[in-house]
Amino acid sequence: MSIISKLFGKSPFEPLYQHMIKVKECVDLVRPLMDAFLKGEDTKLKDMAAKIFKAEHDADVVKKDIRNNLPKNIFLPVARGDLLSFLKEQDSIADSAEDLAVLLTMRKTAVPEELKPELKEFVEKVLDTYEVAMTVSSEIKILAETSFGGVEAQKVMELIEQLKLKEWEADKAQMEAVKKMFSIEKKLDPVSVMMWMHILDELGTLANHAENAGDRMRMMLHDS
Amino acid sequence: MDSSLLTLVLVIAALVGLYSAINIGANDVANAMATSVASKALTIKSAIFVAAFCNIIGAVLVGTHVANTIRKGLVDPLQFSDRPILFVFGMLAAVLGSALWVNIATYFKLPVSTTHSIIGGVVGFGLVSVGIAGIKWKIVLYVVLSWIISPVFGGIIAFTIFSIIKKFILSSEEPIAQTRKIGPFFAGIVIFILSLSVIYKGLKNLHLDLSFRDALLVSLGLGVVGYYFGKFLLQRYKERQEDPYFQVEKMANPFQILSAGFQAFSQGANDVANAIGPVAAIWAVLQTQKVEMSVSIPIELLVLGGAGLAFGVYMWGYRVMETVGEKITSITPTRGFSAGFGTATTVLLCSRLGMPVSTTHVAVGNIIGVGLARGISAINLDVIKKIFSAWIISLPAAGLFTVAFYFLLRLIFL
Repeated sequence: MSIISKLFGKSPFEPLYQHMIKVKECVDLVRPLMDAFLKGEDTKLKDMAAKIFKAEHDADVVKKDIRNNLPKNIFLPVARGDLLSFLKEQDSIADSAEDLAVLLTMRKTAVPEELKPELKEFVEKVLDTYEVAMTVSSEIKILAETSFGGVEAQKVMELIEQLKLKEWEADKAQMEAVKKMFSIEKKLDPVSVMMWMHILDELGTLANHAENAGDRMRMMLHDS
Repeated sequence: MDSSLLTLVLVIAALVGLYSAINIGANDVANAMATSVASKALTIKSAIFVAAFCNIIGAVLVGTHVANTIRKGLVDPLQFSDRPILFVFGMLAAVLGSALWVNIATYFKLPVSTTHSIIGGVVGFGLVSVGIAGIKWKIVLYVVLSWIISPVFGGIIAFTIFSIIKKFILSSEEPIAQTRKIGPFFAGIVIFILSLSVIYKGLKNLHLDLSFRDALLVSLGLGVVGYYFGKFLLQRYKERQEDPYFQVEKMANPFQILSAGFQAFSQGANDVANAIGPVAAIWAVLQTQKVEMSVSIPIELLVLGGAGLAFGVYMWGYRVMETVGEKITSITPTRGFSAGFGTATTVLLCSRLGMPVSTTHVAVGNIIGVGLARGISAINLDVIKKIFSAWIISLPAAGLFTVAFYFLLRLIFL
């Protein structure tokens, strides 16, 4: 019976890092998914969607594990609430990827040639935002090592600023894509318009969650 | 007084005291070294060696103060002038009662402190033998206060040390260069505190009594030597193409070993009294055939107690260090150094003031101190509640066992 060993709880930071890896495995599939969608390759689209569902589930398992290991009487170097909301936002990125995959596979929606450039641009901007968010998340272990302060925290803060900029660009690209879609609305049937709204919206949501994850990370750094 | 009976009592007390010392060594001391083992600053083998060695030195050089508190600080032996045998039985009962209680508590997995148990035992026998008025309540109050203050005090030191490391090393642009600059100061401070505690009024056993000014100067000198030694060690480190924070932790390894040794030293100084304090009391009566205040504790007893601690670490420390070390991998050398330094300084200060404190509780306070400086990834605060409840039970429980032994001894021999 050693009171000293009982004093140490399970660190949530390594699992948080693992969660980031799982989210990354999931969201990295969005690019091939969108590629297949743009090219109208049905089998590849379904294949990617299936892989995304699986990866999203894996991320969920890690998320639940982290939550279950964080009872209220665990004292952490960051506020417990901030950590949990960061985890939630990071997980929501994968959720958005999953929802997008659902939208693209539940109905065969053709991509009009005119929309392709704007759509490609929008997807790139969203994925740019997501990638910066993952870079921010991957710093979590080093931050724990340097106890959430100093040069490392500064570096992450700068990344978070960059993340905000990327998300803003993604927002602009979303506007362009939506505008373009309505400019050709006469050519589209109403159901397709509705689907396009959903698809573009979901891509925007993915970028939003990426930005929010950065914001939550900033809250963890702030009270240092 | 029958001196063969007295000798028998002394031998029994010494054996039980030795048994306690081995227990303390196996559990508490091994616990203290576990942080170094966890952070891989030391292998288990060398941790055992460092612990055993520093334990004996601490016990022999600084062990008398706390032992004297237990021997004559809580219950005034002079009250037994007409019947010293009762005092002798009481002390034997305290050793037996607290040892029994610690064993029972360990069986039920309660995190009790040997220190609290022995104090509970001595006060318990005092209460039934000479009554409420016979106990030096002021000292008892100081001791109990020291149990509350010491973990907090240690926690503040650990918090400060880790905050300094954080501010000047972990947060800097050049963590490795900063470690080379700041590190040697820590080595110097550790050596300075250690030397001062030993040299100033601590070397009675070696008949080397220096004035405070001289002791301070000598300690400062040794501190400077420590500074340069630390500097030498850090200069020798070859920078690699790796994560700089990881390298800082590597560079902090020798410092954590230093603080672990420091901790084992302080622990020896404080904990040896739990084992040999009552034995020393009995020995003093046997020597003079009456109760005396001024008899000093023989160095042989301190060596015996220190050797018991060391033997305990040697025999069973391996298992404890292994299991504890596996569980606390989140503690890295910078954190381990901060917590170890705070624990050792606090325990040593308490030892010099004659305050028997629980080294494990001080260590817990220090780890929480590092945690408050955001140095530890997860701390289970439930432990504090458990410690408090174990401490509240320990005093009356060990007291009751002691009282039972006391009456049993009286029944058999008188």
